Amino acid sequence: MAKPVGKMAPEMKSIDRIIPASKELLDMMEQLRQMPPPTSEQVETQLRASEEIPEKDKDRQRYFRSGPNKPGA
Amino acid sequence: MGQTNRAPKGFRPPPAGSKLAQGGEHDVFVDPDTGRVYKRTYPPGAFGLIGVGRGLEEGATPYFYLRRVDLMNRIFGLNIRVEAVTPGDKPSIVTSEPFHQAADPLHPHPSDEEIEQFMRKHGFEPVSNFGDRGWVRKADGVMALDAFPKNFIKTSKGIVPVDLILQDGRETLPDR
Repeated sequence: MAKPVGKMAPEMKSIDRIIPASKELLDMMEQLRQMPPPTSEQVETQLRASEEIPEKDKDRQRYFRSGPNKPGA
Repeated sequence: MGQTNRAPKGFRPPPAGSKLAQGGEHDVFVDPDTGRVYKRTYPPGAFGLIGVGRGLEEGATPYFYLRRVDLMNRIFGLNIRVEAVTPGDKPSIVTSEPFHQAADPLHPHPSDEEIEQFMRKHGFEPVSNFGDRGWVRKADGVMALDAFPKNFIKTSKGIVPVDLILQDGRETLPDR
């Protein structure tokens, strides 16, 4: 059988085989989109709580190949 | 955020002083009018982290960053928009996404066990040789890195990944 003529960009092939979000996930996201926007107090409370999580949970350093002082660690 | 170009119609930079946080990869802002979170890649000229060999490194190109955004939308059904590219020699990419309100704002993140359940449910398996926060989905070769609790929000409807580093495994750079 002859091979197809022409080339598809590798990234296009790659996109085609990505498994899309499940209906369950899409439904959940739609429900979240329909929720009222948060108040500024809710945003601040959540972000403050997020910053206070234990340091070990934030730590990327242990698997940075290039050392512990990289920005983002 | 005051200077942006290539901004889509309707894009409005967040108000001055609304910057809320600076993570390892982004400056983060919230627009109170839209309830959307704006992220600007940081530092200027850098486009986040990328998995290389067995770890994360700086040095993702704009392609990898945009691919990561696209994969987040495709795989998890998120609504991340590319909003702008800042001008200058060291540009940043600005994206926006909905602010996901945690079910409990005082404890916004899921536990490790809940993350594992979520990732496995969506076809991912842990990658033992990539720290302890890497996952791969063999069916399509997608890698999900940096899966720490802080990068998920536990909402009243379920768990939402907000800041994973997704890569197509075929595009992952070799060990350097």
